Formats: sequence, structure tokens, C-alpha cells
Amino acid sequence: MPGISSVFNIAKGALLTHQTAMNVTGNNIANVNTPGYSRQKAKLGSNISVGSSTIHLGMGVKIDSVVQQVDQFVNRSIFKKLSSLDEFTSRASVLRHLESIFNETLDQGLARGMNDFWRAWQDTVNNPGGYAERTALLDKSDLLARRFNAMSNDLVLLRDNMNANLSVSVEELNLLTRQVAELNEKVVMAESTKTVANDLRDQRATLLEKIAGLVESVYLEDGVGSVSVLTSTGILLVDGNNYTRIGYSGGEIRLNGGIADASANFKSGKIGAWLDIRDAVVPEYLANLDELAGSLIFQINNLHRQGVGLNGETGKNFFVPNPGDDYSNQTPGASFSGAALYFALSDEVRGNPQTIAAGASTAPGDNRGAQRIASLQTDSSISIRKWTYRDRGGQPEAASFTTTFQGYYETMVGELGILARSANEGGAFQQSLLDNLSKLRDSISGVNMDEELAELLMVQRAHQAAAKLVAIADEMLQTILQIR
Amino acid sequence: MRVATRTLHQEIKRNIVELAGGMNSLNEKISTGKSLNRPSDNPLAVIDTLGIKSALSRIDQYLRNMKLASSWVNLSENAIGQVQEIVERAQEIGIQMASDTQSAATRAQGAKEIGSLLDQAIALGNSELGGRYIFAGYRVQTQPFLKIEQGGLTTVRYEGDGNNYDVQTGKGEYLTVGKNGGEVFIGAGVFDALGSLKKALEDNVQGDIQQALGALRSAHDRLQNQSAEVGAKANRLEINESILKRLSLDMTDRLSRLEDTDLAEAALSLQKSELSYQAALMAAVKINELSLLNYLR
Repeated sequence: MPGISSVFNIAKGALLTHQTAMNVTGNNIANVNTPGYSRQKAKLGSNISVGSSTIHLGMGVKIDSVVQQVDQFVNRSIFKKLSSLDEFTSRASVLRHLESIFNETLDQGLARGMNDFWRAWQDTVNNPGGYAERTALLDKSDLLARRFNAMSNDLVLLRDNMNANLSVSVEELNLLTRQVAELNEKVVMAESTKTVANDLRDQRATLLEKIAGLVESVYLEDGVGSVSVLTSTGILLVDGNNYTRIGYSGGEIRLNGGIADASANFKSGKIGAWLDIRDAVVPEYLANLDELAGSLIFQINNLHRQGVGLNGETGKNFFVPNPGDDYSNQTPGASFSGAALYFALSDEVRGNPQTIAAGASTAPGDNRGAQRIASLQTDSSISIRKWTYRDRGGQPEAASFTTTFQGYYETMVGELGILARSANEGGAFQQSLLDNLSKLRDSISGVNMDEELAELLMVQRAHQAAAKLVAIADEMLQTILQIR
Repeated sequence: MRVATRTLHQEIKRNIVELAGGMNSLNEKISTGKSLNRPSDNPLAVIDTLGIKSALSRIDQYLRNMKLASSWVNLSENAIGQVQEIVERAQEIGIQMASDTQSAATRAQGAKEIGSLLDQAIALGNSELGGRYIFAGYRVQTQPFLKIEQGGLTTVRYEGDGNNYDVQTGKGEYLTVGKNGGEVFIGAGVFDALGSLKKALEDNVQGDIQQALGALRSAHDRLQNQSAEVGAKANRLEINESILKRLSLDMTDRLSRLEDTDLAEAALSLQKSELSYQAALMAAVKINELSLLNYLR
């Protein structure tokens, strides 16, 4: 039979319940700026009523549960976008660097160097016996060679920087997977009592998103609340409270101390982007720069060897030849790999302008040799290989281009511009998609301060009323105790 | 739709960052004066500018080549013209000396005069441009015409070679601006004709004088042809030059339109984005002012 003590109990329950609700709201307010935090809500329910066969009396309020306001579908959509967003932004930042190496808009690029080189040959055509013209030609040729060397060095440096980035990113991934494994254990333990470990889940979701930023991956949750994380290629990164230890050494990604290179399994995300840049993008530009350099060396040498210097020297190279160049059969070496780096004036002509084979005889007015070389500038029948690296790890494909040296280089610069532009635009597109999804997510899971303040007031008033109930119940009890 | 407090702030932050990025790129365009600052700004335009710059560099070189070619052609035109005059003067003297009224003494006097005309012709054949003999073929550092005496006959030995001097005036276009002296003067028989007239006068043989006069006439005709050829070249150079100059102007204009910033337009856009930026900042402040807290005691 309910009595005053029952009223006390109802008041006590209400006080405790609203204190807890206050706690939940307070926690929401406190986490208004916490990334990945999902708004929580205390679900109130009435206690089971008691009574006889005639009446049923309510027994006050209790907290049924504290639930997160989460839409798993939106969360998964965001998760999927993160890999490509980070891939695009990482790519774009490196391509910006690559563009600065090929920057022709400042008039100091390779194109300018080549133009100056051809003009120096023309000047030599005009005055083949002139010492000043010959010296200027050597000077411009040396500048061109150095320009090639510097670009090659910059490209190699850029490629090697990727190794430093990769090493950091792989370490980050290890840290994240370890934390996910640890949280898995905690979530399973916390949820063994049939409650939901909201905050632990929030933390874990944030970590999962960070993993997705590093490498394209998927996650699956099992019945007890533990998630497994796999790369999109099926490499298990986290399984329960175990995680795969990833090592990075010698430019290779190794799993659990193994020796096989697993980098092919890392697609998209930052790690995928760094690997693509290191193994496909930069090598392609390096290879094509080498082709341009190697062809220039071969063609110039081939003609220069047929000419005669003022001192009667003939059959001399103008540039250091490519390994395997066979000038007697006029066939270039099989590979121009590294040509941009070893591009230099030959020892025969360096410091020796008289050796420049501007003529077909020693006559100081003979400009036939220089004429042949100068006309290479506009020769559009030069065949140059162009390399394409479709996938990293795959074999590059070579296609033969028939063009001028200038035309070949223009294509290279134009392609780089298009590549950088599409990375910029792709990044911006992914970002806008993600922004929309994030807005959607925040509309469900985000905290709105005013809403929480209103909630706070409501809870506070209820708490005040419950306190009043205690006072009244007390008065009632006093009344009874005062009966004499 | 519910709007989370964080969404509001992030939206403001993102808008401000975006607007700042836009202002920065406009600033770059204005301060560098270039609308193309890296290949990705407009890849196709960058390819175009590279092509135009290379063409401009070539045109500039061709114009330089033609400047040299013009001085070369002018000098040879001049030299050939003067040698022609010398031949004419020699013809006058020859005709005068062929008359019966002339004595051995007057003819000897005439021979002296022809001798000095021959010296002048040789000097013209040895014309130099910038230290180079223009009538020596490829042997530009060797004096091409050397006076020699052969059995009492004064004549000239050619020390140059049979090559001509070519200059590139366009893509795949070469112009022979310097014909070798062998073809121009020896081929025309100028020196031989002058030499034989001199000998005929010294020998005082009327028949030989008539014969030398005939040689002079044909030398004059041949020089006339050479002179016309050189004149045509000078003409062609002039036309080429004006064509290339116009082309160069057109290309410079195109280049400027491709890569230079339209300052008026950029300044206007900058003003516009400054306005948006200010509006975004204002909105940020306004949104921060709105809170239920303001109305709670």
C-alpha cells in the first residue's frame, strides 16, 4: 500500500533522474566543440506501477537509457569519402611542388634555356669563325645542361621526400590501429552489461576516420561491439584487440615483420597518394625529362661529329654522349635513363671553342655544320619516346612521339598543368561532398547550444519541483508526527 | 534541419578561408601582372604561351640574322656598283685611247690610270665587314684578291673559295647573301679585262685595245646581272623583315592577352571579394551574438 514513504521515493527518484539528465545535457554542452562527439540524450521512462486489483499507482521516473543521436548510414558515407579527399589533397600539394619545378611562366624555365641555346647556334651560323659567338654558345649550352641537371635533382629530391612522408604516415597508422584495438577491448568490456559505451564508440569512430584518411579501408562490427578494420584490398589491420604491426624500411611497407613489400595493397588515402607520387607520377616526369635530354644529346652529337672545328677537329661530341650511343651507325643507346642528370658539355669542347664543329671544313666562314644543328630547332621529325606510368608497380609504357624538342616539352608542361588542375578540382569536389555530408551528420549528431540550454532549463525546473515534493512530503510526515 | 552550433562556426570558418584564398589568387594576379602563374592555372594557355614565346625567340633571331644579312647585302651591292663604275671609267679611257690620234706617251699615261683603277677594283673586292672579307667564300679571314704580274700582264689571283654565305631568314628558309668573289668578279672577267687593257696600252697596240674593250663590255654586262641579283635580295630582305615584324607584334599581343592580367577586371573582382569577405566577417560576429544565454538572467 503506497504511503508517504512512497512519495519520498518518487521524489528521490525524480531528483536522481534529473541530476543524471542534467549530467547528460551538461556533457553535451561541454563537448560542443569536440570533433567526432555525438549528441546524447537521456531517455526517461516511468517506473512500473504498483497497485492492487483496484488501483494502479505510478512509482515515479527512471532513466531508461542514454542514447547517441547517430545515423550510421551518413557516418559510413563520410568514412568512404575521406580516403579520396586525403588522396586528392596530398596529391595536389605535391603536384604544386612539381609545377614549381616545371614553372615556365617566370621565363626562367627549360623552354627559355632551349630557346637561348638555339639562338646561340644561330649566332654561330652568322659568324662561324667568331670567337665571341663560339664562347657564348658554350656558355648557353652549359646553362642548358645545368638547367636539366637541376630539374632532375629537384625531381629526385621530391621523390625521396615521399619516403619521409610515408615513414611518418605508416607510424601514424600503427598508432591508430593500436588505439582502435585497445578501444575494441574497452567497448566489449563496457557493453558486456548490455549498456552502450557511447563515448568510447565516438572515440573509436574518430580513429577509424583517421585511418580512412591514411588508406582506403572498410570496417565491420561484430556482435559484441568490436570492429575489424581491413584495407580495401583485404589486408587485416585490426581484429578484435589485435592489430597488424606495419613496418616501413627501404621504401617498402612490410606487415608483421614480414619481408614482402605490401605497398601494392595500400590504395588511396595519404599513403596511397604518397606511393603514387613516388612510384608513378615523379618517375614519369623524370623518365620523360631524361628522354628529352637524351634525344637532344644524341641528335646534337650526331650532327656535331660530322662537322669540322676551326682547329680541324672532327668526329667530336658536343655533349657527353649517352651510354650505348652508336654514332657510326647513327643509332642512339637503348636507354636514356639519367640523361638529364649527366647532361653536360663534352670534355672536347669545354673551354675549347675552336673545337665546335660549326663548319664542314676549317674555313672560318664555313657555317654548314652550325646550320645543320641550328635547324634542329624547328625539325618536327624528331622521334622521342614518351613514357606513361599507368599504375605504380606496373611496367611503364613507351609511345613514340614525332615532334620538335620544343613540342615535346610543351606537351610535358601542359600535361602537368592538367594533372595538377584535376587534383585541385577533384580535391575541391570531394571536399564539397564531404562538407554536405558533415552538415547532414551534424544536423543529427551535433550539439546545438541553444537547444541544450533550453533542455537545461527544463531539467532544472523538474529538479526544483522534485525538491519541492520532498519538502511537501516532509511536511506531511511532520503533520502525522505531530498528532498526539 | 537542425543546425549544430559547430556547423555554424565551421561554415563561417570555411567561407572565410575560401574567400581569403580567392583574394590571395587575385592579389597574385595583380601583383605579378600575370594571370598564368603556374601550369595548372590554365594548361592549354600555358602550352600556347610556350609555343608563342619560342616562336618570338625565333623571329627575334631571324630579324637579327636579317639585319646582318642586310649589311652584308648592302656592302656587296655597293662594292659591285663601284666596280661597275670603275669598268665604265676604264671603258671611257679605252675608247679615248683607241683613237688614232693617241701617241705611245699618252697611252702609257692611260695605262697608269687603268692600273690605279685596277687597284681600286681589287680593294673593293677585298671589302670587309666586321673583320670578315665578304667576297672570300668561307675563307673569310683570307684576303681574297691578290695582285700578280704574269709575263708583263697585271692580273689577280683569287684566294677565296667557291662557297656562298647563307643566312637563315625563316623556318627552313635560307638566303644566299654573300656570293663568293670568284663567281662575282673573276667570273665576270673584270680584273682580266682591266689587266689586258693596261697591257695593250703599255704595248701601244691598237687591236689589243679594241679586244680589251670588248672584254670590258662583257664584264660590265655580267656585273650588271650580279648587281641586279643583289638588289633583288636587298628587296626581299626588306619585305621579309616587315612581315616578321608584323608577325612579332601580333604574337606579342596574343601573348599579352594570354598571360597578362586584365588589371581593370582583376581590380574589380578584388573589390568584390573584399566586400564578400567583410560580409562574412560581419556575419560571424552577428551569429556569435545570438544565444539563448543573452536572455537568461
